[in-house]
Amino acid sequence: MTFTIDPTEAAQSGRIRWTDSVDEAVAVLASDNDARPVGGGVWLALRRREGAPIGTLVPLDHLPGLTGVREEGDELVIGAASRLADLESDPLLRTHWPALADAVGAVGTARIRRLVTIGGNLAAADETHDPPVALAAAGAVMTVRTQDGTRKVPTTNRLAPGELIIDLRLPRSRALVGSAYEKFLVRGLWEYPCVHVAAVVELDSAGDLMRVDLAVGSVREAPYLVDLSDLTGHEPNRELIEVAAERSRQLTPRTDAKGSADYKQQMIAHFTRRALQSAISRARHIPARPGGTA
Amino acid sequence: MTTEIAPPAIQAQQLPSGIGTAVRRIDADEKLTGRAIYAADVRLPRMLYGAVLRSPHPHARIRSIDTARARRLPGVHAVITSADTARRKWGAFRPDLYPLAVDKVRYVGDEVAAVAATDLETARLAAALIDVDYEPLPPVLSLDEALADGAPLVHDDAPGNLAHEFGFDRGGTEEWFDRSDVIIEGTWETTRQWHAAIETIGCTAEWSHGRVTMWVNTQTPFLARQRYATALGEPLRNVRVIQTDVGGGFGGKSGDDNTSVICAILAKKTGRPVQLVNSREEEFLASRPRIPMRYRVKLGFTRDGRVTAKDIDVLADNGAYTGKAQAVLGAATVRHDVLFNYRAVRARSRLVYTNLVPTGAFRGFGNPSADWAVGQAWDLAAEKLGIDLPDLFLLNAVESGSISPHNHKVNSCELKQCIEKVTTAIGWREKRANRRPNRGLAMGCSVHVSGRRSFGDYDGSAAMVRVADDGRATVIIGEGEIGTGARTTLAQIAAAELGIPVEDVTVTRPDTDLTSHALGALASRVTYVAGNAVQRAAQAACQQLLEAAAKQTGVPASELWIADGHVHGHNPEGQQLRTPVGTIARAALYQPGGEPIVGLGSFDNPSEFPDEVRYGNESGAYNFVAEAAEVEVDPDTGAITVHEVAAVVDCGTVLNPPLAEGQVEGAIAQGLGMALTERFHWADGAPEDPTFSAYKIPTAGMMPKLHVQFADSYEPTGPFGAKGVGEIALDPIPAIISSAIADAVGVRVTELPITAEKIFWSLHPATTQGNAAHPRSDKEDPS
Repeated sequence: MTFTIDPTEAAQSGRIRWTDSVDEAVAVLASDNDARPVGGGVWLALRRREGAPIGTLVPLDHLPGLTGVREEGDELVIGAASRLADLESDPLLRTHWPALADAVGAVGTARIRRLVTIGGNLAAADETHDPPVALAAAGAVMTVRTQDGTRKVPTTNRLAPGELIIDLRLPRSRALVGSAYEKFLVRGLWEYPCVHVAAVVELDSAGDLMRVDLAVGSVREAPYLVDLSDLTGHEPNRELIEVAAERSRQLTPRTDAKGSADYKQQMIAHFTRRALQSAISRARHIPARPGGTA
Repeated sequence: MTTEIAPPAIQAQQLPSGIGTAVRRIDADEKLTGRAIYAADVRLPRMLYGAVLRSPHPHARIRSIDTARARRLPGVHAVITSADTARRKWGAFRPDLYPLAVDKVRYVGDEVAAVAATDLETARLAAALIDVDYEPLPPVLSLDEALADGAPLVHDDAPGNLAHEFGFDRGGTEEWFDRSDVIIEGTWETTRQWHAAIETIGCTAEWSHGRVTMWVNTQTPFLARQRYATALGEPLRNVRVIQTDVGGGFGGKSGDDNTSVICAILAKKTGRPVQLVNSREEEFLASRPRIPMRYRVKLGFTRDGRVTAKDIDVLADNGAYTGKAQAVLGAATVRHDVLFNYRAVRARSRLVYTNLVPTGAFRGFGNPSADWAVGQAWDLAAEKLGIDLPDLFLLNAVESGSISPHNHKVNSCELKQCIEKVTTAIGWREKRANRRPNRGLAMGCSVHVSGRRSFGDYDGSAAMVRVADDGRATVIIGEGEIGTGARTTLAQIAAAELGIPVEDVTVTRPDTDLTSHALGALASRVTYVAGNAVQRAAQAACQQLLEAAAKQTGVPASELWIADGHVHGHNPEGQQLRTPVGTIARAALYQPGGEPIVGLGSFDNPSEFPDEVRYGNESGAYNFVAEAAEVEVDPDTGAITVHEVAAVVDCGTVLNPPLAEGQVEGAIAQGLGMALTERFHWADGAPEDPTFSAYKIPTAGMMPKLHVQFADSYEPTGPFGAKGVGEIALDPIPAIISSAIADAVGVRVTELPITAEKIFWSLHPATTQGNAAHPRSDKEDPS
């Protein structure tokens, strides 16, 4: 296991609890209020840095069925303990959901991506994170386990105590679907984004919009879905993109070292345009898929 | 004290072996293997850990402090307030800082109380349990607030919140403006920049027999010792300072903050060793960042581009306490005038107290603020005169032998060579001939000292070089090492003079009980000032060895020489002699009346102690730089990409090219940080998020393509012709980036930092009316 707390030291003090199955892991988490699931351990390491006490650690990445990307019926299923570094180059994910593959690849640095799991990244419920924005625009759901059973909820929902993300599910992409993720690093170096936007569009055979979803990060605690449903049925032209950009500009980001709220509004609008243009062109030029998914 | 001005021609010199070569750092192994002992690595038996309680208010009266709960916490050994201190003000130039606040706090981060406990967690927990009753007072959180009529006073003894002011008019400025054809005027502002060294400030202190020993990661052990003694209310003789390894200094570890003083008081109170190390947040809240300056400039030129006069009015934001700020303001006022042939210069400079984090020394020492303003004024002048900037610089640049209006006497000077070479290195003519949209180009120059006579009438250094019977040499010197490789270059100088391999040379760390007095790593002085002292000490040791060998062999010393660690020559029979220096040293000692081989060397910078209005030749040698950059601006976002930076430095002989290049590259990075990335969002007189999450220093990923070169140059007063190199390449960078942006998209940023946002609003003036819940704020720093 790759983890920033010395595993030998932690195991000796009885703080790592290895389990053999998801059922067992869920049972341990239910029986111990101080137990925490561990994906890459980055969130926990940051909490420890802040001085927060950390109880029993329950590693997940060795458990069967929690890693990898697979197709199940009409869905693409991503194991919650999949590492971001593996997902960013996963051919299935890149083919079906380039916005998510780009968002996953936009997280931190390569070293961070080799640690972080997508479930952990989502469970951290941090508005600055990249993958949750792309997942929200894609309409992804997560399979969540507790001792009482399994349920599927949108990824924009908050987890309840004791809940464990098992996998993430997205519809398999179709022809005339395009997605894009845009992240703006205003100082030209890695940091949390100034603004970040994900767009998903689907066109009908006439080239009009059947679906348009736009998610904006770092403006609310969870990715904010801009309501553009009234734009469906229209041709996705420059004017329509301007309407979407203007609507996203109404959000109220926070002034910080990366920029004033006013500037961020302008940037949200700008990167909304770029994400929509990119998603639309991807929808229009979608290549034939290996395996005949088109 | 004056110096003969050298002839302008470069002195071609045969450099000895080991000088001008890529000698491996003598501290490389211990640093790479993690064995170097930095401030927080010091471990002493029975050692306690300290923590400091700091003011949450920018300005408040302390009604009472209740330490009872903190004292009761198990593991706590002492809780101290100003009642436990000597209540003596200290400071490098204007003593205004108590070790722990007396009656009032003056900035967010001001030290109020401190704890020593068995572990760090307990100490910090106990500090949080100290209950302070504050009466908040109205603060002054900017230059304008501090200077307003009736403004609250930061210190009662500084009316108008003025900590220091001076001015001069040299050469008849008004007359020269009257005779000028072109006048350039503008006002530029800089902002706080933090050193952001990898290692924060830290100290371990232990008292024994009435004396305190302090292991500190300071750049300036002897100067810090004097101030610590004052702050502790102890005679100087009772304080010993030993330098640990230093994980980056940049001016921020030159002994102006309270951390080490509080550590020593905790150690005295508990009777045990105490270690106190700043957290990163404390480093941002309470170290001594770069001084923000509001710098109004007026320049005059003749029609054909000759500079006539310069007039400046400088307001500097001192913060709550003074430290070295008044010296920095002095450098920011006069130093730039060494660069060009100004006929007349006038200045008015004022240092202003505010209720913000105190400021102090930072790589460049005022020069980057001067360059930010004056450098951009020169860029505007080139445009107005219709003269290409490199040509304008060449027309006005100083040369060897020139004397500034402030009596700076320039020995070696290859400024014109730097300008010509940097023009080629950046591809200036080609880029000008093939302009590309949203791309811009600019150039700047700067000058720096090699040591400055700042602290009384001494800017010297003294060294001992001991050669032992094992053939090794030890350079005993108190200057130290802050990460630049200074000990390595001193070892190279000693090895070259002695004729022994550099691997056989050790250079001590400063210990105020053991090494000779030294001012330490400041003002780009160690290579030049200490290098000369080491060279002289090594020459003396070498002479002793040769004389000893002469006695031992019967061959006159004048016919012997040392190379490869051996004394060479020929005996009267014509046989070749080759005796290890260790053998000579042992034989010199092991005889009746024998003596060790110990050479002494001393060098005092051939400079003058500037007077109250900054007249005087600050340094014996000046180093120069010309730099140029190409940037690109995204007009949709204002985002800036720096594509290329070229730098040509005149630092005399380059003693160790990789070390010198490292200094130049690091300085460019720090200059880019000052220009573009390093900033906070401020709220209520303090950074809202004082961490590296908000405050971004440049990373390798954003570094442009660099072209680093050195001028062919030789400083006749320097060791093997060398001058300082540690600071200069930072100085012009922010101004160059700003001028290049102006060249790219026509937007002139006058207030640091340069942000994408400022450029965006200038490019899109019609879109400024947003619907944000918060009022627009494009000014991150309240100063």
